[in-house]
Amino acid sequence: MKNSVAAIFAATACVAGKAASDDVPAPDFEMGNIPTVITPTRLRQSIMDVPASVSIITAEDIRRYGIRSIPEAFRLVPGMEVNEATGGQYKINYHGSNIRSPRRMNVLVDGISVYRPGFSEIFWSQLPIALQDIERIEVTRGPNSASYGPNSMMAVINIITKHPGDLERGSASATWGSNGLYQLHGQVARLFGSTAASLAVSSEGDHGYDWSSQREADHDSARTKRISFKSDTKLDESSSFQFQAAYVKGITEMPFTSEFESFPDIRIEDWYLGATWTKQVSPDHDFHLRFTHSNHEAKQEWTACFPRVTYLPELYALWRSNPNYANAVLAGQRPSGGSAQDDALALQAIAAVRRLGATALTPLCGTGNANRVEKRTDFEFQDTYVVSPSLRVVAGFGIREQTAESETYLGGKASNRLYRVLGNAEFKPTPGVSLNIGGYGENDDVVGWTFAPRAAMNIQMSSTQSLRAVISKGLRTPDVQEQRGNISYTLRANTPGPDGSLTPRFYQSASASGNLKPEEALSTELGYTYINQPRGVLVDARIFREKLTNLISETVEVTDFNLTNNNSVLLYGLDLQTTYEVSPTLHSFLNYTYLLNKGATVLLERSQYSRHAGALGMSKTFGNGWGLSAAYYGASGNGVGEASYGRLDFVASRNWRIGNNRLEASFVVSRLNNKSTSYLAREGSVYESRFDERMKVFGRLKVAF
Amino acid sequence: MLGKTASKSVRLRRRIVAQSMLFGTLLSAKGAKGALPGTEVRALISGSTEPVRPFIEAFGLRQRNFYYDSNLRNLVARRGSAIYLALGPVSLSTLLEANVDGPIVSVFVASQTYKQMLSGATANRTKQITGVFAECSPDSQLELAYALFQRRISVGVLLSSITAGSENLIRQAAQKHNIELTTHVVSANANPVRELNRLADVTAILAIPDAMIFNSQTLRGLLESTYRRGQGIIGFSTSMVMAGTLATAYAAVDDVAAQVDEVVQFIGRERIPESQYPYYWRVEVNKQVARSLNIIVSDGVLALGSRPKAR
Repeated sequence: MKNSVAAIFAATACVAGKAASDDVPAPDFEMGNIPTVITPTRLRQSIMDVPASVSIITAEDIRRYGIRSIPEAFRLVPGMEVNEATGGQYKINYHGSNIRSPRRMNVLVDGISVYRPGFSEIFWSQLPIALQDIERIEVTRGPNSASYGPNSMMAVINIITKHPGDLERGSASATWGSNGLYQLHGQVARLFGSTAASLAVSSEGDHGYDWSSQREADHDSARTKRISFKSDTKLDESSSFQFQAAYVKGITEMPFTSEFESFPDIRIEDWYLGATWTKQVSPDHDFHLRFTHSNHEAKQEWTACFPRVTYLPELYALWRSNPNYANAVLAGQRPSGGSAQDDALALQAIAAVRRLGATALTPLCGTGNANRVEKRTDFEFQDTYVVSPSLRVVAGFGIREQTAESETYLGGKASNRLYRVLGNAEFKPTPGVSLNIGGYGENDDVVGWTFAPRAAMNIQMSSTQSLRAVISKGLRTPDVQEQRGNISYTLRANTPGPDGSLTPRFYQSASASGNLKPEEALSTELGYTYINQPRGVLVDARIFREKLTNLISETVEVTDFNLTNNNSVLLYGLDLQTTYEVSPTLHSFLNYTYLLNKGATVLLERSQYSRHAGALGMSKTFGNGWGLSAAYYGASGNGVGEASYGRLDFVASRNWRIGNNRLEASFVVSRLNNKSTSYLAREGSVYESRFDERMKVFGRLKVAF
Repeated sequence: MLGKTASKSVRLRRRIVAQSMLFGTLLSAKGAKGALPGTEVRALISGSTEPVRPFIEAFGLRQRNFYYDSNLRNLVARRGSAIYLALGPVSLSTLLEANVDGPIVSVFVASQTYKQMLSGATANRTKQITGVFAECSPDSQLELAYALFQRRISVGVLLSSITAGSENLIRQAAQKHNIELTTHVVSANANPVRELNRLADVTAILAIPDAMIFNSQTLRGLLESTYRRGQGIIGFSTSMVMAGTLATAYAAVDDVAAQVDEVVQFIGRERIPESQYPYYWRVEVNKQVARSLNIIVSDGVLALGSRPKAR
C-alpha cells in the first residue's frame, strides 16, 4: 500500500463503517477501496505507440464546425476522398482510386460492420445512426486488415456512438437549410438500476442537387427515418452487458434511367442487433463475446416498357451463348462467326421473332426490380491480456455467416461462411521502442484462406517526438455478387409476355466466373509524431506507399460482366494532420494530403484522385456563450472525369442556460467553389450533378434537458 | 475496548517510545519543537489502529508527549491539559459530541465534511477546533493541472450544494494559475455522470471531495465517461489515481504529520489557527493514463509541491 494519506482514507473507510455513514453527512472515506476502473487492458494506445496513422473526429469537432452529415465529416480526415455523386450518393475512398465502386474500406458502428456483405455497398445516407448520436469517429488510415479483417483494405472507419450513461436525460434538435435539408432528432436516456439505456429517433432528408446530367432532371433526394436503442448493464464489478438495436428506413432517389424505364429509386429497410458481454478477469486481463446480426433490405423497382421481342426466351438463350449474336438478331441481322450452337440458337431466335410479327416492337410493360436482401450474423471472441508492462496481447476468433438474396443479381440466394482468427502483440523491448506485430487469418467458403499481416515499430526519439515505420497488407475479398453473380431481369408484366408468362425474362443476362482472388494492398509508411504541449501543437505526418494489386476494377453490368484480378495502381505521397490549441477558447487544425496515383492499369483506378486535398479551420468561443468558426475544405480533383471541390463554411453559434436546460442555436453560411460535381461512371461516360447556387445557409436549434 | 486493541496500543506505544529514544538526539536538537510542556497530544482513533498506524508512527517521532487510544474515556481520563487529534470523521464526530476540554485538531477529514460537521457546533466550541484537511487545496490541484499541460487549459468542476460555496476559492486558484474555469452545480436529484455533458468541451476535470458527486455509485461512471471523452481528471487522492484519474496533488503521511505537529506547536505557542489545506504536498501521476491521453509528464511535474524539513 502506498504510504499516503489517501491510503489511510481508503482503509479507514472500512473501519468507519456504519458510524461514518450514519453520523457524517459527507464521509471522506465512503468510497472505500477504490477498484481500478481504467485498467491496463482498457487503456488506449498513445499516439506515440499506435502502429498506424489515426484521425479522430469528436462530437465537439462536429458541433464546432457545423458539419451536417457523417460523410461530410470525413473531409476532416487527411487523404479521405469524398464525392457526393448525386444527392445522398457518396463515393468515399481512402486515397481514392476507383470512384465507381468505393468498397475498399471497412465501416463499423459500435463494432458492427455496416458494409453490406452481398454487394459491398454502404448507404451513407441511411446509416443506423444520426450525426447527433456520435461520440467520436476513429479513422485508421491505411490497411488494417490485421485487426479488422478483409475489407479493411485501405482504411477502417469506426463510428462510436454516445454511451447511454453519458447522455443528457433528453434532447431534441432541428436543422433546416438550403436544398430542402431537414434533420429532426430526439433522444431520451435513463438509468434503470445498473442499466443505462438510451433511445433515439431521427428523420432527415434533402432535395439533393438541382440538376443531373443523365436525365437532366432533379431527382436525387434522400429521406431517412431511424430509431435506435442502446443499453449498458453492469452485471457486477467485473462484467457488463451491452445491447444495441437499430431500425432504419429510407429512400434514395436515383436519377439514372433509360428512355424505357422509370427512375429506379432505392427503398431500404435495415435492422441491426448487437450484444456484447465483457468480462474483466483482472486489471490486466479481459475478454468479450460479441454477437451481431444485421438485415439489409433494398427494394429497387421501376416500370419498364421494352419491346416484347426483348423478352423472347429464345433470345435469352442466344445471349447466354453469344451476346453479339443476340444483339445482331435484334437489329434484324443474321449473325455469323460463332459456334455451331450459336448458329442453331440464332435460327431458333430468328424464328421466334418472326412468329411475333408486328407485335415484336410493341412495348411490354411491367415492373422490373433489383431487389436484394443481405444478412450478416457474426460471433466474436476477443481477449486482451497485459502480460507485463512491456507486453500486451490481443487475440480472438470469430465466425460469420453472410447471405445475399436477389432474383435479379444472383438468380436466388447465395451464402458464405467465414472463420477468422486474429492476434496482435505490442511489445516494448526497451523504453521508447514499441513493436506491434499482428495478423488476421480468414477462411472464406469462396476464396479459401487469406492472411493479412502487419508489423510496426515506433521509436520515441524524445519525450515529444516519435518515428513510426509500418508495413502492412490489406485485403478485400470479393463480395457475393462478384463471385456468384447471376444477373437477369425478370419482369412482373402487366400482360403475358411472348412465352405466355407474366414473368418473362429480359434477354440480357450474365454470370460471374467465380474464380476471383482477393484484392490486395501492400502498404509501407514512415510516420512522425510531434507533441508540443506548452504550445498546444500536435503534428502527425507520414509518407506512404500503397501498392494495390489484384484489383477487380471492372464494373458489374449485365452487358459487361467480366471481372478479373488484372488491375493495379500505385499510390504514394504525404499525409499531414495538425492541431493547434492556441488557447482554451481558440482551436485550429490543418490537414493536407499530397497524393500521386501512378501506373493505373485502367482509367477507373484513377477516377477518384486529388493530388492536393485538405482542410483548414479555426474556432473561437467567447465567454458569453457565443462561438464563431470558419473552415475550408478542398480537393484538387485530378481524377478522370472528377471535378475539383472547395467549400468555405462560417459558423456562428450561441448557447443559453435556462435553469437546468440548455439551448443551442447555430447558423452556417457555406460557399461552394464549384457548383457542380462529376465522376466517371464508366470509361467514356462522365456524370455530372449541379447546384443552382454556390451559397448555402443552414440553421440548427437544440434543446437539452 | 481494552483487550486486543489496548494491548496492541501498548506495544505500539512502546515501539514509539523506543524510536523516540533512538532519535532522542535529533528530537532534542529540535528543542522545544518536540515538546509542549504540560500539554499532552491525545489522538482518538476509530476502530483498528492499523489504518492510522503510519501517521501515529510519523507523528510520534515528532511529538514525544503523545498518546492515542480508540477509547474516548481513556483519553479524557488522563491528567493534565491536552490537545486532541481527531483522526478521521468518526473520531471528530465523537470528540465534538463528547465536548472534550481542550482544542481539537481534525486530521484526515475533507474540507466540506469538516465544515458540515462544525456547522452544528456553537461558536465558542468552533473556536477550539481546527484541522488539516484531508485533500489538497484547489490551488495545489490547479497548479498541478497547469504544470501537466504546460499551457493555459480549460478545467471543469462539478459542484453540488455541499461544495458550491467553494466556487470562489476555486476561481481564485484558477485565475492565479492561468486556468480557464467552467463550473456547473449539479442539482440534488441529478446524475453527476450525465451532468458531465455541461463540461464536454473542457480539457480536464478537477475533482474535489463531494459525496454528492464522487461516491462509490458514481466513481466508475465518472471515470469511464471522462476517459471516453479524452478528459483527464485531476484529484483528489492517490487511490483515485490508481483507479484511473490522471493525477493528484496529495499530502503523504510524513507531510500531514509535520503539518499537524506545526499546528500543535502553534496552538501551544500562540492560538488556535484557522483550519487549513495541506501545505506540504507532492504529486502522484497515473503515467499510463497520461500517456494514453497523449500527455507528456515532465520531471518538473513530479517535483511539484513542498516537503517538510527533515526532522
